[in-house]
This record gives sequence, C-alpha cells and structure tokens, in this order.
Amino acid sequence: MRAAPRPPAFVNDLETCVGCHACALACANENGLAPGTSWRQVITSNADRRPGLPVFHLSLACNHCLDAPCLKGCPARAISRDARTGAVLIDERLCIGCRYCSWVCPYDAPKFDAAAGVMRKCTLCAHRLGEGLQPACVSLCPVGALKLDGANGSTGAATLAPPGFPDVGVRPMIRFLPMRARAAGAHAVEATGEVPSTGPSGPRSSAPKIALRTEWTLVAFTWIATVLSAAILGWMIGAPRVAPAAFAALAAVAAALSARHLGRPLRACRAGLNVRHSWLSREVIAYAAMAPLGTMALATDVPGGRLAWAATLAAAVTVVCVDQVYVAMARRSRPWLDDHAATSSALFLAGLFAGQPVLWGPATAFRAVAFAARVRAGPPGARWDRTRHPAALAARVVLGLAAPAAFWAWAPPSAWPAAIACGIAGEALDRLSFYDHLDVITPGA
Amino acid sequence: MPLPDGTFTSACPRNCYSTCGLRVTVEGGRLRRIEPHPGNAATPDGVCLKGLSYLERVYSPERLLHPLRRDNRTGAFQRVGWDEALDTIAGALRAARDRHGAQSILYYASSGTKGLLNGVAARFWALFGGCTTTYGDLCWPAGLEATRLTLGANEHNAPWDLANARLIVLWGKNAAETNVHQMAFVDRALAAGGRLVVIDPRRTETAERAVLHVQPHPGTDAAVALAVAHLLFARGLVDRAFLDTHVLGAAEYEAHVRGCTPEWAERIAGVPASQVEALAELVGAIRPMTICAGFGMQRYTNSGQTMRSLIALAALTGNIGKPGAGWVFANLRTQIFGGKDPLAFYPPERPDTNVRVSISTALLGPQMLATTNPPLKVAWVERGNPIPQNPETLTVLRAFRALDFRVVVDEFLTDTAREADVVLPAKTFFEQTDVIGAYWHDYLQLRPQVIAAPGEVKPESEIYRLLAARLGIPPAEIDAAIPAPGGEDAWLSARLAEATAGAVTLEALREGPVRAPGAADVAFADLRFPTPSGRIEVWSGEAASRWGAHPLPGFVEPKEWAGGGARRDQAPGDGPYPLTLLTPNTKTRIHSQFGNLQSMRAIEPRPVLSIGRADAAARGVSTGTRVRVFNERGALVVEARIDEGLRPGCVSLPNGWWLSDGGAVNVLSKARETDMGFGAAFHENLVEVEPA
Repeated sequence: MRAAPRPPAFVNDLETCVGCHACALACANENGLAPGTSWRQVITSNADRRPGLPVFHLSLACNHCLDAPCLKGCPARAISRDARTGAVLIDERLCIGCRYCSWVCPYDAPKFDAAAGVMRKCTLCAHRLGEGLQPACVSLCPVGALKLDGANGSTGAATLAPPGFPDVGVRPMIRFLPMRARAAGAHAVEATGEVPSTGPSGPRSSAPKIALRTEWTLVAFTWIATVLSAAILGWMIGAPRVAPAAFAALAAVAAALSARHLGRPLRACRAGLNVRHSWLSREVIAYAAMAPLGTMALATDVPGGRLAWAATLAAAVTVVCVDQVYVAMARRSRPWLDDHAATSSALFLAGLFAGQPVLWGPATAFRAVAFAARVRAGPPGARWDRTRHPAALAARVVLGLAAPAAFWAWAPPSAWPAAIACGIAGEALDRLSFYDHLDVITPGA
Repeated sequence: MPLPDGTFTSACPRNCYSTCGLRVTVEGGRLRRIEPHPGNAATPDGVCLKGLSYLERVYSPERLLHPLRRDNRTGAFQRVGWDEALDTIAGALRAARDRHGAQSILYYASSGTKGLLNGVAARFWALFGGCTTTYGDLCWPAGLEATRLTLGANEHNAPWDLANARLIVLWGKNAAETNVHQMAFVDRALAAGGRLVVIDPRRTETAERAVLHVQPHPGTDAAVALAVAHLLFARGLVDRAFLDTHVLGAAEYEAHVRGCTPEWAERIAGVPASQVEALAELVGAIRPMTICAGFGMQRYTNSGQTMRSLIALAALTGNIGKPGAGWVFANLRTQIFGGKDPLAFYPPERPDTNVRVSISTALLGPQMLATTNPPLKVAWVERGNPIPQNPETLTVLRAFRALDFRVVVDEFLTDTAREADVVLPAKTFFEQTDVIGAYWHDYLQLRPQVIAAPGEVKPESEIYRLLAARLGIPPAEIDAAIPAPGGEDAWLSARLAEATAGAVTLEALREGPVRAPGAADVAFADLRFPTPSGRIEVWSGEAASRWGAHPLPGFVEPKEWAGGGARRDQAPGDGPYPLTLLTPNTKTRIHSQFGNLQSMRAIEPRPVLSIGRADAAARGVSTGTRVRVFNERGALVVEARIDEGLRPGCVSLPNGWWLSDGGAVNVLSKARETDMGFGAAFHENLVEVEPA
C-alpha cells in the first residue's frame, strides 16, 4: 500500500487576520452545518486588551496532523488518512460518537454532531481540492489571512507557534506568519498601564471539552470499574468474597452507563477495534474481560486459582488503561501523580477490602499527596466549583483518607466494613474532583 | 415559471461601506453558496460574515412569511391573508385621510435595504394624496456637509488606491469590523512600508496595526486636529504652493489656530501633548497621506466643525487630488438617479403641497409627538427599525404607541414590528431584482431575483400596487407609477438609460459590477473643486450663512460631555453621569440587522458593556458583573467586561441590540441634531454605571 500523501498546511497570517469570523461561516455554509456551529473556530488572544501584549487571532480547524492523536485514539477505527489528499477524515458510518477524538485532539477539531450522534470535523474540503478549488475557509477570507500552503508537502519556513496554540509534537499541518514589529507603547492608554511580561490572557473562548455535568456517566463508570477491580485484587489477598451476582450486576450497570455516553450506543461493540493504538479500546477490552472473568472466578474459583488469576490480570489491566485514557489528553503540566489515579485508587481499596495496612497505608499516603497536588494546582479555567468547596475537600480527606486510618487505630475490627464504606465514598469524591480538574489541552487556554 | 438554478451576479444591499459584489449559487431553487464577485475590485477576496450568513437569514425559522394582524382583544399577532391585511390597512389609511388629512400619515423609511425600486413608495404616497415624512439622516450628514462645504462634492479616491498611501490615518474608523475589505488595502500599504495611525478612544482590531494610536476623549477630535494644524504651520510642514493655489482661507486659518498648542489640545482631548506632536510629525513628514474618517465621530453636536478641521489637515499638506492621498469619507459617484446627498435629504426649499417633510430624523420621537395640524395618526415603516435605532428610544416608542394605527414591513419581528397593528412580510434582496449604488467604491451593481419569495412574501412594489387598487386609484395611474410584477427589468432599464445616457445597461450589470459614469481612481485630480470659490474652502462662507458656524473649522464644546480641562469649573468626570457611552458598530451586525441570527449569537451571545479597569474598580464592577447603565433618559441592565484598552472615562456598548435583547443603546441617547446637515448627535451620551 502506498503511503498517504502529506496534506497541505493551513497558514494563519497573524498580521492580516482581524478576527472577522468569515472563515468559520464559510465552513458552516460549505458543509451545511447548523447555523451557529462550525468546524473552524476563531480564538482571540488578549481579548481583554492587556497593555503591552498584542491582540491577535488564531483561525483553527483540523490541522490534519502527521501524528494525529485522534487517528490513534479512535477506539472504533473510524478515522483514517485520505489516500488522495492526506486529510485526516472521520467516517461517519463507523463513528460511535464517544467524543474521545475531541478529547485527545489538542485543537478541538472534532465536533460532536448531536443530531447525527457522531463526530464531524474539517475535511480539508477534500471535495473542493479534487476540483482544483481551495477549501471554503481559505477561498472566502476577505483579507487573505488564511491560506493553504503546498498542496503536496512543501511547508515552507517553520514558524514559532504563537501563544495559545498547543505545540505538543503531533506535527500539525499549520504555519503562522508573525505580526510585524511595532513600536512599544503605540496605544495611548499604555502610557499609564502596567505592562505584564508574558502569557496570553482572557477567559477560555468556549466551554471546556470535558465537563463534569456532561460526563458524569463516565465518572460513574471509571469509579465502578475501579471498585470492581479492587474487589478482585482484594479477594486475592484475603478480602471476603463479593457475591458474584452483585459483582455482575454492578459491572453491567457500569457498562450501560458508559454506553449511554455514546452518540451511537448501538455501535458500542466497535469500541474495541483499535487495541493496537487506542487506550480506550484497550480499556474497553480489559473491562469486557474482567466483568465475566471476575463473575465466574467469584462464583467458581478460589483466590490463587487459574480463573482468579485471569480475573486479576484483567482487573489490573483495566485500571491501568483507565489511567492511560486520561494521560493521553492531559496537559503535561498537571501533577503526574494523577496519571495513576485509578491504579492507586484500586490498590488503596483492595488494601482496605483485605484489611492489609501494608497496602492501604502507603496507598493512602500516595492518594493524599496526589489530592493535595491536584487541589494546589487548581482547575483550568472556569469549571464547576463544587468539588473545590471547602466542605467537599474536607469530606474527601476525612471520609476517604483519615477515616480508614482512624478505624484501624481506634475502632474494633467489627467496625471495619464502615471503614471500607468510607473509603469507597472518599474515592467517589476523588473521582469527581479528578474530572473537575482535568486540564485537557485546548487552544487559547 | 420556476427560476433557474445557476450562479448569478449579485450584490449586498446593506447600509455598509463594502457593498460587496456577490456570486450567488442556487441549487434546487435554494441558495447554496455566497462568494465574492471578482469584478468588484474593492471586495474581490471575500464576503464578510454577515454576507455569508444570508444562507441562514433567508431561511431562518424566525423570518416572517405571512401578514400578521394584531388581535385587539388579546393584543397578540394573528396570521391573516393578504386580502384581510390589505383591507385593514386600506381602511385605516382612508379613515385617517378623510378625518385628518393625508398628512396625518407618517411614511418612515430607513437604510435597511438599498435599491432603486425603493423609490416607488414616494410615488404611492403621492397617488394617495400625500403624507408626512422626514428630513435629515441618522448616519452621516455632518461629515457629508463638512465635505461638501470644503471640497464641493463627496468624492474620494478608489478604495484600492489606499494601497498607494505612505501614511494612512484612520480617524474614528474601525475598518477591521465595519469595512473589513479596507483592511486588505491597509495591509498592502503597510507591506510596502507605509504607516498607519489610528485615532479612536477604543483599542480596536484596527488600532492593533497602528504605529501610533491616539485615544482622544469622545467629541474632542477637532482639538487634536487644530493642534496638529498649528504645529504644521509653526514648523513649516504645510504645502505652501498648494495652499496658495488651491485653498481658500489658509492665512486666516494659520492665525486662527495660533493658540491651539499641543498643551491646549491635551487639556481638552486628554491626549498627551507628546502624542499630538508625534501625530503632527507623521502628518507633516509623510506623503502621500490618506485620512479615512469614520461615521461615529460625526454624530456629535459639534461634529460638522470637527470634520471640517480634519479635512483641513489633508488640504494643508496638499494631500488632495493625488494617488495615495485624500480625504475618504463618502464616495457618492453612484448617486446618479436623483439628487445627491446631503442636499437631497434636506427639507425642500419649496414645500410640496401634498407631502409634508417636517420631521427631523434625529428628533423623530419628540417631533412625532409634537406634530399638529394635522397630528400624526398612522405610521408606515419600511426598511427600518426606528424604535431601537433612533435617538431617545423610549420617546420614539411612546410616539408610536400614541398613534391610532401602525404598519411595519420587515423580514423579522423587530422591536418596531412588535408595535405594529399589521406586519407585512418583506422580501430579501434575493427575491426581487433591483439596482444599487455604494458609498465607498463607485460600482453600480445588480442584485437580481434568484429565488422565489418564500411563503406569502411580496415585494413592496407589489404591496403598494395592491393597496393602491383598494384605495380606488385608477389602474393606469398605478401602472405609470409602480412596475407590475415582472416589469422590474424594464423599469430599471429605463432608469439606468436615463441616468447614464445609455452607458450602463441591465445586461452589463448582469455580468458584473460596473463603475458609475465619471468614476476615477483619484478624486479631484484636476484640482477643480465645485465650491463657490472653485478652491478647497477651509474658509467657508456657507458654513456661516447656512449653519451659523464659524467660517473656519474649530473646536466647539459638545452640548453633553464629561468635560475636558477647557471647562475650568468642572473637573473631568464630574457630575451625575461621568462616563461617556460609546455605541460602536461591530462585525456581527449592520445596525439592528443580523444580530438575531444564530451565526451571530454564537460570536456575540448577549450585549456586553466594556469598561476600563480603573472605572470598573471604582464601581465594584468586574468581568461578568451585571451592571445598570443609566442616565436621566433610561437604563439598561447588561453584563460588564473589563477592557484594558479603553480610554478611561469611556464605556462601550455595541449598537444594534434590540429592546427585546435588553441592549438597545438608544434608550440612553438624546434626540439632538448635529451642528450641520440635520444629522443625529446621538453619540453624545453620558451615563453612570453601577452593579445591578
């Protein structure tokens, strides 16, 4: 098979672009999108006009990256590179509407089409390129600020990514022409204003990609998957056996919740097709293995048995995959301890279930430090603030971390189930907080 | 017969500088694509977002497709058939005419859609027996009159000639939002080493490209211009040879501005004297220079004089009649079908016996209420939304409510349409053929009918014909006055032939834009000026005789302003309403149009007041705070946003939001006329802001 060609690069001329939004409308018109939506967005840097910083605009759609994270991340193998133009394209007939491509895309290119239940995005106007035309956005820019460079490969001189453009090494096919140098203090009001040195400013241009309000089903799924994994792991090291029926029921509820999140739930079985590249596919496969293996092991096997070991392996892989799904899209500046949130949570709970201080003790310390680091780092942009309410912070620490230690130190062993209940509740609060603090890479932030 | 699919030449008829040439593609009887027409060299590269949004606007679920009549019992609108709607209107018109006379009916039209066929309205009212109508204009009279007095005509170099300028002064103009195509020519000039100066209290997208951004207090631009003139004279930077030959009153002006030092300007305009010096250095040293003046700055009570002081700078430096040079305000070369503005919208010297031209557009609300003999009883409104757009919105609203009967023709249920007794659904420009002019470039353009009118929509010409028949006007008279459906082409051809002596035909316009007869890339290239003296009149006798102004340009205190240092008795920002409210136009709308579309709501979801950091802090306001913006005329409650680039003492709220959006800025403005030209001085607007 011949390698797909390198797609042409979009060029943003930061000097010429005045942020008029015609490109976004041109895209909507060409692709018949609902009014008010577009596959192209205009992001204004320094919209608050802070003195000493330029105001400029980025016109961003899909950059058809050479190392496209969406293409790798799509669990349903619905994204591919067009053999003719090199464009990264979503096949809407294969998409399951899980939105994962939009999470891993640093440029927010894939957009969820609620009516169709699938993701859609810039196609580089491949249909127009075929006719020798430019993409609609390029062809309709009133001031010539958006161009397409090198229909087959030439990218010209590399330019520095401007502030607000996530440069995360996925080889996006976009270039920037810088603004012309100008005398400092050209604006009259700058004579009196203080001049900050660096950094873009202003609120996020749009709602966060992942919000607790909309993704609560996934919070529930990842929390339940962690608890179920911990039940298997704990059982292996001495915890009481969970009733197989309860395990199976909880596993089914979690699976249903995660499918509810899909735009096309009936295509859910496609979610495991990309084990080779996508952590999401791996998570789906591991979870799909753990649920029946765990149920059968609990029903028919003993700890240390062959089936029990298989279930344990599936449980361990599940929590590692849960973590990796979120590692793939998060900003590198977030506390690294959260890269292991689900895994450490499972170990903590398994230790609690089994009453093994050598396990839950260190895990408690790890979880405490991770939580403190997360809260200290703060949330990105404007988010739901209830997980940062002092009562919520206190509840997470007291229930999840302090209570088990207190029970172990002072309560009779018969009260241990209460310690476990506190631990599980604390982990639920932590999962909410984890989601609320997700710092997903997005342009203009 | 169904209309054919295909790609057609068209043009956007909004009240906008750019007046883009369009190529419109229709597939299956439906608009599919809107692209720029390369034949319009002023707008060859792209249509603005508003032009692109016609795909939404024409098919918007909110568009009016049927006549509506108010049910007097419930107060709600009910869909009615054309017969019922027109019978109701005919009855009301006849009753008013019989009881009070035809002049008890107000015909009010504004600038919503350009087109020669708009003229049929006047013919209808003449057949009806008369009406009352308005003089003056909301938009640009002070600048037009100042230009007419100084240069003799409102003409300027072609838009693309701006690329030849070495110095561009965008004075009170935010082209990036209001004339985006001009920015392409600005960029070309800058790429060739030219410089840009922007004078605007706001740090706009346009100002972002400037080497010097001067932020005077609103209404004080003349002080800056006079001080620059003073420095040009004092430093020998004026073009003496040009002044001696082509300018009337240069010596008098030199003496007149002797006291107008940069320090004097600083006290009035709040601009550092060093910036005035920097501006004078640029203006004196770099040629050719083009000054492009915006419209907002000439909506003050002193703005005729302000605009004259700006034009004087172009005259003093010899920047008239040359490539890359000039005064760019309005180019009226396409006004070939009747009188030229501004004289065409002045009250007639010999009043028509039937049509009473007695209400100043700037004073619409108060004068509607004050009109007697006969008082106004009925209003007919088309192509306009006067309630939120004319000064003193609440007075205009009261005046409309005081009438017995109101008819509004519109595409959408605007604030004004909501007050109507009968609302008639208006065509869009894709649904009837017409010819339009422009005021930035000089192309005549055709906007042909390319799709069938949806629902029961009828063009105004047809509405008038049907109404005339109901009112008993003989068919022959109707046919002579108003073209029948299908007769538009012949009617337009005749008008074109008459106005251009056959030089421009409808067939030529079908191919693409055609420059008006006499069009030239450089205006006044022969340095002959149609003024009384034949020269550029910095000294204008007519300014004094017609308007009672000083014959020389000067700074006159605005009637309502927060005070510069010139008024020693009052510190800046003193008084109950210390903030000056700017009400600029934005990229998302043309006055009150387009703001209701989802495409625009996605960009600007709600009205937001911009306020500087210090002014906000002093009032306990921050980004996101709900604030009450108020003065003695009214109040609005909107969201605030810190804008660190805004001149202190100013707040800014875009114009064009409807009352129903909670952002109609003219709730706060006062009905006043400009010093010249019968314009509206509604940008002179002091307010206070407090957390709501």
